[in-house]
Amino acid sequence: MLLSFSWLQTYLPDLHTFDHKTIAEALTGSLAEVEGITGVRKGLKNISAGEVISVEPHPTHKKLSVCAVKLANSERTIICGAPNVAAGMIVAVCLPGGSVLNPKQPLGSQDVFMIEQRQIGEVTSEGMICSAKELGLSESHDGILELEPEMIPGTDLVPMLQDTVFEIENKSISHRPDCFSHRGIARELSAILNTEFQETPSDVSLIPTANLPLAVDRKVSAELCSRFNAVTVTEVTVKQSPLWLVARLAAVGIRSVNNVVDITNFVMMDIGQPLHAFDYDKLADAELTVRNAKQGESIKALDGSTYKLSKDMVIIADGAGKPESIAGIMGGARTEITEKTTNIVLEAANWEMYNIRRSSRELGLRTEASTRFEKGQDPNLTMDGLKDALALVQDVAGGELACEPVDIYPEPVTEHTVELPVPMVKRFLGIDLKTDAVIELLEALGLEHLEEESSAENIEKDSQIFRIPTWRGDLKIAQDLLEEVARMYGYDAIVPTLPEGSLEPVARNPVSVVNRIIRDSLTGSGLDELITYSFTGEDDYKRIRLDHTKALALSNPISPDLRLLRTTLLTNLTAKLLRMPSDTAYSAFLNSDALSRRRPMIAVSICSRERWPVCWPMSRLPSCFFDAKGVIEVLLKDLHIDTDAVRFVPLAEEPGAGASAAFHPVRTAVVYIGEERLGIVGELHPEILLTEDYDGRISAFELDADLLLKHYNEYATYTRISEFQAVSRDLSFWVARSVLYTDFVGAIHALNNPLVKNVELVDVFMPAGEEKRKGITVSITLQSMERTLSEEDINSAVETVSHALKSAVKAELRS
Amino acid sequence: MATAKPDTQKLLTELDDLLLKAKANIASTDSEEELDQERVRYTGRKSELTTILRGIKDLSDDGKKEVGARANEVKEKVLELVEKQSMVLRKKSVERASKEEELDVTLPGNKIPQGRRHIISQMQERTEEIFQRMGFDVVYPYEIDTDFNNFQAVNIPEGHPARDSWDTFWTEDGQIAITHTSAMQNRVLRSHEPPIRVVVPGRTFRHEATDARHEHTFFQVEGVYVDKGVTFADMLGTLQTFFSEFFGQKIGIKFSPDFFPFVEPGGMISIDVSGLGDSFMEISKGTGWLEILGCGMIHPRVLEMGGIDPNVYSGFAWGFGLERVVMPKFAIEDIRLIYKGDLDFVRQF
Repeated sequence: MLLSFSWLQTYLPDLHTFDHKTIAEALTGSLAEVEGITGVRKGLKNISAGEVISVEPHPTHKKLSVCAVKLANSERTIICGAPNVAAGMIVAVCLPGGSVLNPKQPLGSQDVFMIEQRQIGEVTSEGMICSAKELGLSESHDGILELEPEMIPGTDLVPMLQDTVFEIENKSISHRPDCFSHRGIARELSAILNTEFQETPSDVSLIPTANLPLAVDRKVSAELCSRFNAVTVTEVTVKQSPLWLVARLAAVGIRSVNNVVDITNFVMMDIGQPLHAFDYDKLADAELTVRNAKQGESIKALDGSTYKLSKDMVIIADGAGKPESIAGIMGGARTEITEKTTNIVLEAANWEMYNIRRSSRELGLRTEASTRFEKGQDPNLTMDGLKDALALVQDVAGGELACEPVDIYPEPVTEHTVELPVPMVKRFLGIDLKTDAVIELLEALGLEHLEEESSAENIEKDSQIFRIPTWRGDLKIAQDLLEEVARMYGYDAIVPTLPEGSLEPVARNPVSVVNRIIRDSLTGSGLDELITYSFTGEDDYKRIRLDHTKALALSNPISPDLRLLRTTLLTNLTAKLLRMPSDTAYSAFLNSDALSRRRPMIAVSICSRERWPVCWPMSRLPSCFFDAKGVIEVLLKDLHIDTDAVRFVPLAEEPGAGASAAFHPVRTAVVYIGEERLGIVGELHPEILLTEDYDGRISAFELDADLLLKHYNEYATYTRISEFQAVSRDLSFWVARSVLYTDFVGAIHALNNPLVKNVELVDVFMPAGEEKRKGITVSITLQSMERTLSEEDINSAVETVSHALKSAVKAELRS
Repeated sequence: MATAKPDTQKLLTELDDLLLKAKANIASTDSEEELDQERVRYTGRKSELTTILRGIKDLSDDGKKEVGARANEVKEKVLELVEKQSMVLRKKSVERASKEEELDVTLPGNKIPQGRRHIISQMQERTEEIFQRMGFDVVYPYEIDTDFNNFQAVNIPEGHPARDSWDTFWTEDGQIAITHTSAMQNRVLRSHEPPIRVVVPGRTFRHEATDARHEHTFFQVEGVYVDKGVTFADMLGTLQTFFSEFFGQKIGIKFSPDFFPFVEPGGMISIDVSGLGDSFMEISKGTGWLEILGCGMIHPRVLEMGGIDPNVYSGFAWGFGLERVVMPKFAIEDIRLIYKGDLDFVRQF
């Protein structure tokens, strides 16, 4: 919203004693941020009104005329190139030594054009007659600007034209409907800067002196239209607006149309009440009906576009039922005020805020009027607006009031009171203020302190009652008043303190703790953490052979490839990896929410390069699956999860589990903790790598972090160490190819032999030519808690183990 | 038949020769292996000594005794020499290593695989840690939530113009990808008894075109503090303390009024970034003040909807975007890098 300094000054006579920076800071500190301060038409100098006495063609230059222009006390000869200059016109003249705005630059540029005496042919021109563009008022530069005939020649036009404009973001004042006008802002500034606010109430007569009847039928509920005012005015002369009006509107970014339309806009910018003017003679039956639109009705609006209406929208129609205005948003083109109009209807009304907002959105039409009504305006403002408009019309366009003002206002809004317990100022804001000071601060904003009511018996001690003017509908509860006290007191004056409380420690969120351990573990295992969007697309799913149809979709995605909410982290993670050049080793993890399912997940992806140092024994097994599995094993240990409960089940035995379609059918395991499914780990499906033309292998896993949390133990368990020496024996066995390691080693553990401390895989040997069997070498560590082991002990243990393996998995000892 | 005596003498002589030979060979060994070979040659089971001792059975008792004893002497002497030579060799080896095993120690170390935590995770953990030290609990939001939690429960009824301030992502089933972590406020108020001190760090979404300064996905930190007698001044103090801890130096703050439906009074806090470096000065457009968060006293309607009596308790709440602090802190030039998954980015932190 743009605010004109000189406009504000009409309400604040001493405003000029404050510099612009102070004013901006006052508004920013107590109301809303001032985004910019712009000088307007500052380049103008030495511009006066003048009357063109005569116009003669230039003796030698055919396209020019020589004009005699009368100023206050002198007459000047001025050469003019405009086609429309004529005797009797009042014009704006720039005298030598002065300057105008350069018409070759865009409007709003500060570039000036200096004016000096000029000789053209034999004639000396003592100045220049200005176009609207040279005065910075509009784009019009085809001819000179004609001023209103009432303008006295010699009048200094610069004060009327120059201004400073403050810009405030509308969003910051969306709770202050009263601040969308110069008067509203002036009231605020008066309180903040402690400067006088003056206003003369309108004394325009509401007694008609002519007769143009108007019938108004309000067919919508009082809720949708709480007040409707209208008057008719006859014998109006519609023409160009006087210069002061054009300049005022131009300063706040509104284009001048004609005097009547300009007046409606002026009043809206002045006191915040939008108005509309209809051409009376174009209204069928001199009738206005306020009703809901019929579904499918349309209207050609003032902006030239035709809008399709729906039944929730409120319109004003004429006696023939034709929509003539979209209520509170924009008027219709058919009844617009033109130079031919002689009789008008001025309408000011109050429209329900949510309806206006909805309708405005549906039509895709936002106007100054709809912006104001959306916030909810004070119904008591409509009559003020009508009176101001009527007075201005009569002053500027002539005309007579031709009917009794229509005022449909069934449920008048009355002022309400709010009780403010003064101790709350200290208790809530932390400010020390005496009661009198509080009252003073609030009275400066226009609130009325009710002294008698405040000292009544039933009022809480030291509560003060305030009557709230109807234009501060936003003040409803004590906290609202407290905000007024705080901002008037000055936020900068409030001293920060720290709250006091008990020493009782707050519980630690275990999710936060576990997340930290997970990150430590995974980064420690050499993986980098990625963070990616929660949004994903069909292609990301297709790329890894997963079905996207179960994913929750956005109805307004930012782009088609970000339409879905991910159900798995694998889509994002593998997408990144597949795009990395395959000669770089890259491992990464994501630790985040899989939306839709609201399950926190961890996903890890590792590409197979010889990235791991050789100290990892598993690197000799030809798959990066084991890298991924190794990371899981470390993670489980870091979370102190009992690994006895964890099982890795080949995918072949668990078809259709979760994201399994993305994984290699025979190089993938489903992971269980007890009977609960923890997740899945495996190489990516070969089809994916081929389709993506990826040279290498990628392994990945995804685990349910909630389940990890459930089984997480803060502490590890300790088992006593033996003081006796441990002994290792490497044993090699032949087994059938199909024997799983878990069954092999399970047979050893099933013995529950107290001497068997540890079994470690050394090698799996699959020689060429041996299709049916493979060799497994394990290193068995034997140790006793009670004594040093003898050869017999050792041999006996080895015997038992071999025997168990033979019977469980038909393992043959290799020599 | 030969007498015992000359055989005995012969053996004794052979033993002496053996000892001399052993001495010489041992002295000339150059390594532990060689030394061990010599030891085995002279004292092992199939050694020369054993060969000599085979002849002992033909000797007289006296002869056996004498040769036997001499053999033991020789064996012990050899072992002693081996021991000594071992020491000598060890010393030589150490000297050699000390002189010859030179490394260019300025070569780079082996790459030990180490992953990096994402900078946002690091900053999130830092933020959580500071607030936890100040006595705050940590709660995580749901990224997808209902209209009730995201808007209505924080005093933004349906159709209210204030909804325009948030560009919302809607799911096809009518839920919202949360526009602010305030979506957790109602649950937090309902599930805790005052005094309530909770921070809610989480991912939030705004339907905005992305550019170097704007993203549709970002990270917010929400906070709620409710107790008896909590004041506006307390809010200023708490947030000033947080930022001072975060930046490791005292940070000045200033409050400017603004409108949010869930707080009253409400506004924005700006921090004084003039001491935090060029990046901060740039992003503050040279003013030295950076608008960093929205905050205010929790609106009594919001407290009521959360089951807290506003006549007994008061509280304050705030929310700030983590990227807004992190980007100038590290002079990160483009917000989109955070979610891009670029290794060059992640590995720097």
